Amino acid sequence: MWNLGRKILAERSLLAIVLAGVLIVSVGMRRVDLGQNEVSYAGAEGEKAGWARCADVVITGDSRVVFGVSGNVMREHLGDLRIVNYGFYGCGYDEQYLRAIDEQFAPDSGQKMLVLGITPHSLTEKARRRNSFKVEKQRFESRTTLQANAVRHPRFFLPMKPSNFVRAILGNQKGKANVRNAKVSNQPDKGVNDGWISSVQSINPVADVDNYRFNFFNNVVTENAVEKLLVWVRKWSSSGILVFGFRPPTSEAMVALEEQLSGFDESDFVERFEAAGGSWIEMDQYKYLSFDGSHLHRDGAIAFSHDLGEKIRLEQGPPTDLARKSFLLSQ
Amino acid sequence: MLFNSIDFLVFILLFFGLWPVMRRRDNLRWGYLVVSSFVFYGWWDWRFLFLITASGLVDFLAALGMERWRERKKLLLIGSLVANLGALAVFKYLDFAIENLNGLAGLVGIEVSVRPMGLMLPVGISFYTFQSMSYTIDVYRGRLKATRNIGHFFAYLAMFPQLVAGPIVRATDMLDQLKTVGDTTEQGRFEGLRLIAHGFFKKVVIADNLAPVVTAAFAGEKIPSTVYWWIIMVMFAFQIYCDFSGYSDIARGLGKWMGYELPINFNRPYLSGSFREFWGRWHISLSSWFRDYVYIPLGGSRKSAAAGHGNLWITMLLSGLWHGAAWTFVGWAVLHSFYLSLERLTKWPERLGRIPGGKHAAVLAVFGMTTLAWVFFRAESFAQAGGILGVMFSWQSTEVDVFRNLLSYKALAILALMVGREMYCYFRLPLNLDWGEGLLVRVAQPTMVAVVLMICVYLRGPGSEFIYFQF
Repeated sequence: MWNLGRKILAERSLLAIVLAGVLIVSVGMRRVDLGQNEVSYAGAEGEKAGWARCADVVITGDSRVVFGVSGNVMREHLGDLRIVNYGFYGCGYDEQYLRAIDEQFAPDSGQKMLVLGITPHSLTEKARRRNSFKVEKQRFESRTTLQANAVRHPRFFLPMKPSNFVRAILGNQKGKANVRNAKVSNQPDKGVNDGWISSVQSINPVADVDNYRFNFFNNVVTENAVEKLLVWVRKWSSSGILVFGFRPPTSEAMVALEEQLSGFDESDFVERFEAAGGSWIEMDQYKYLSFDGSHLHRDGAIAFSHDLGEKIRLEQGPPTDLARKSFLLSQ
Repeated sequence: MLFNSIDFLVFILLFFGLWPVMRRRDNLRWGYLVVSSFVFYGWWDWRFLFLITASGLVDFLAALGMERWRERKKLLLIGSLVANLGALAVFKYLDFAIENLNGLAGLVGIEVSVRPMGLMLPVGISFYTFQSMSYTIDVYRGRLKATRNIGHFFAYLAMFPQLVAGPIVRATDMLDQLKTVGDTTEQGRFEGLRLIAHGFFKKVVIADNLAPVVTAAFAGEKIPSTVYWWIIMVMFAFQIYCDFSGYSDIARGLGKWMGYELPINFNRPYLSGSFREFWGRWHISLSSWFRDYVYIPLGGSRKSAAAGHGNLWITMLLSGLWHGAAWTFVGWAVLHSFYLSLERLTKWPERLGRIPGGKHAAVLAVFGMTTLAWVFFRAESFAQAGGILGVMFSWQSTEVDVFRNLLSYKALAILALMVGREMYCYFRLPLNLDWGEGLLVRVAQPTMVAVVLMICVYLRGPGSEFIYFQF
């Protein structure tokens, strides 16, 4: 033992590696920002970016959709369809994302439905140009089996916010969870990952509203972004896909901010959306619980997903054979 | 395979696990290096291996041919250059040429629409092509004897630590080093680990945390704030520096573990008091490559002052195009050519240095002008670069709240750290303390390295590739 100690001391690089290992594990064990069952937001989105030809119902949009809609909850109303939440954080409806949405439908699907979550930000040039879907897609494509497994398992090694890092070092257990500290849908999912990320953060309904003001700094909804989306809506609806649109619920303060700054004319958009072949679903914007004034809390998301599923079922009319069969099976 | 990936961690554990055995015999050592390097490189896309193998074979055979048929060595050199530059032209510049051709034809009213080929750019092609070319050129010039062992040659060409992003090592340095067993010392191994830790810190903590803020700035609408854009550009200056020099540090550290010395590629370039000095400190292996294989063969500044300026501009423009097939890189090179020419003509740094505080002002001026040139390097178009420069030079202010939202505290803290570090070095405060040799020291030094590695794990930014891979 003494000899081993001497050898380690004699070899500083070995000592540094051993110490680094000890420090990394110690700090990881003391981290306060991740629970046992949680997965990183980035990890969850990275998984999604690799999906293709897997769904009957595809729900799209930005983080308001990511946090707000559970396909598994909607299945209670729409039957045993394959419903995926294909939303991405900060995502605008750019061409690459639209093409990827188009590729999500399973070839054997008997009832293709597209549910587009439309936030004003998703129709801005900045959101389109930032192309956050592309970033996730690239991340997915460039990673290997090893990296994919690393995302799934040692959450321990995920990066931390500096404040949480300091807490982990100092042992302050009052860690602050953040948006990225969230669970991939686990309720009531029967073990199926539907792409929903639920958040159980403490609720502060106006926490981040002010920050979203800057999303619209020199950046408003543009005709170009709207028209490019509507081109696809026409294409989808003419190919027999049922296309629905809705504005993901948020808080009153957020809607007021969007009305003031985004330049989004909802009634005009809805008129054009329906003329392109889509069906607009009016959803109560303020009824559901939000954790930060923008995104829905898990409880709000479950309630909203029930309501959305129910409204789509009513809109959709009599189910097709496959959907009917699935629906009956699920009863 | 990225240095900052789990794949690489596994790769490196396996590599160094067997290295002590494999390095003992020449052929085994070279073979092991070649196979490992090909695994490392082929991890991106195994098809890339055909190109590097073909490129290497051309130069290996050309060099042998030069020694056998001396009267035809010029022809063989030309053949080798055509093959190397041809591959570079096809994979890197063909689409750029087609797009410009289409645009040019449209300008003169001719309807031409040649479709870009959309070829995949092999990672690190510019680096290993230059490395390979330096070998044949040096054999042609008689400065180097061609190696007859193909394993020895490919071990030099494909050596994985520096294969995809430099430093660009010269055959004259590296072939000789590879002939030896490459014994390491305890000091060398620790130095290597320190370089690796330092390199990772630069890349994953500094560069990767600055990257999202810079990317968002260039992706979004133009923010009308002079201060904002100056901060963003200084952030980019440090992002690219830490991204690239971080890679070089890791490469050098790995080299030390293997028992080889790779050249220093960055020597605190932002502390330069002139542009001549800057280019002697920034990407040193590339600058010296262009100096030795382009600028001096063109005549350097030997013939006349005017010819010297002309050669300087040609060299810098080629260097700009080496970085990427886009006019913005040419814009960046033009600006640096202008800076260098102006400096030669006016000798402003020396004159400024004669007045009190002038030397400090010169360093600040060189850094400021370099930062301005980075606008072209980073911008996606001349229009975007022009817009940003316009904001930087016409005082425009915006709400303070914008900064709070657009520039994260973390990024600002990192910027402050980097500025502080540069100041620390500039004022020659002791960077490497003389620790002595006591037991406490032998524990304190590795502890510091361990803390840096731990910080790299937990405070790393969103993972991304090294910027210079695209070149």
